[in-house]
Amino acid sequence: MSHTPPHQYPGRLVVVEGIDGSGKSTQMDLLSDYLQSKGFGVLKSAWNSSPDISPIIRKAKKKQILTPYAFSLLHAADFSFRYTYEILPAMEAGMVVLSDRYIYTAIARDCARGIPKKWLLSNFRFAIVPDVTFFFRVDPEISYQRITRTRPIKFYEAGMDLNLSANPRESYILFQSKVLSEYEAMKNENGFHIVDATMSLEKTQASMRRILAPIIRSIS
Amino acid sequence: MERTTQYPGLLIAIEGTDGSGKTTQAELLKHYYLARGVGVVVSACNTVELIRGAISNLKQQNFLDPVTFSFLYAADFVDRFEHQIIPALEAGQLVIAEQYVYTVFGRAILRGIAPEWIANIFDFALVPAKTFYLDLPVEALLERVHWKTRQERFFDYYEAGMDLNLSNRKKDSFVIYQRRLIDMYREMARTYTMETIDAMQPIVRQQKTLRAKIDNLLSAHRKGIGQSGGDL
Repeated sequence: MSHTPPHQYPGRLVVVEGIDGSGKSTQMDLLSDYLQSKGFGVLKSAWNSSPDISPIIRKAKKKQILTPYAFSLLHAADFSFRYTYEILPAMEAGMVVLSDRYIYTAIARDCARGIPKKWLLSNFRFAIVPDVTFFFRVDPEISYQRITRTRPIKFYEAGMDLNLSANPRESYILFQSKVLSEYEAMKNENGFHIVDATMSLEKTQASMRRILAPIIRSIS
Repeated sequence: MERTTQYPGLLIAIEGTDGSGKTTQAELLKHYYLARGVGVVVSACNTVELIRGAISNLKQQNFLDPVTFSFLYAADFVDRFEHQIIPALEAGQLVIAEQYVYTVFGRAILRGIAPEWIANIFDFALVPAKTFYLDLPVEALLERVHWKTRQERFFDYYEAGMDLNLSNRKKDSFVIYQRRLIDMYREMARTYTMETIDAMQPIVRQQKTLRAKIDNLLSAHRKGIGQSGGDL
């Protein structure tokens, strides 16, 4: 099987999407080790991690002062910075870019916050289409349990800014269910590979590698 | 962008290059309307501290990607829009926005950004009842800037458009860049049906024109919302 990339770069863009607590970061780490052991150059890029912009997002989140549009625009700035200065250079250099969340995160979350999809699609139209997108599907109840095992739920991930419920757990379930249905609405059009997050770690990794094989084989 | 008609207040914007006299005209308008019992808010573009810090860090490291900057300027504007402009309009005040979205449009477009892309980002904003463009030829702008810099500072790298590689000399780059920016403003003045004011005229003359136009807009607006009991 050969793979023709949806872009002209020699590199490959591999994306994982889904709500937190779905195990996608763990799978990305495993994938990164695997690819490096096979001799590929790998760049991992995580959501909200640009050196100059992500700190201001974190500060604003702490103060709980972000409106949906401010939230969206600051995350877009963070993404576009990483896109220009991390992702594209690695793509040009023929590396495999493992992007933990991509534009679909912004679209799903911000739509769930009531922002028009048309506006978001236009904002992110500069971003190339990934070679493959894995969508980790997990029930919000389960993801809530997984997250709260190690840390409390955060204000914005629970959608507390939307006043859905005064109870963080209830708010989280309501908000993330909305996010999930936005992902579902995008999955066919964008060819997401659905990963059942209740599957074992090994099985998931094996199936991701299988899907990836023809995509990375054609890297020159 | 939507029109402002649903609010009891009225939104006016003043655009123009640095040194075109926006601040002076806005301040004079404010005093004039306050004296006549109209609630006025001058909304200037004072970048939010957090965002200003990020912008200056990025500029210092030469990270000047125009897409990233467009989002940051929009994030800054949305804060001013939602926390200052909208509440004032809801409270029935006259809002004079000194520098609105069009300056950001112009700077982005000159750096290769598609006009409809940047316009879409600012789609959440409102179309002012009127935008006044203070038009100043580049030669006059140069004189004013020189005069200003003796007391303040010399224009920075970005204001001189040095990132566009127009010229190695900062002053030449500034002239080419500002000339292009002025052309862009003039084009936007047509596209967005702005009212162009000749900024070479004496300050008082410009002010008189602005007052006459805004008086008309205010009385038309009062009539329009007369039944619903607006405050203006």
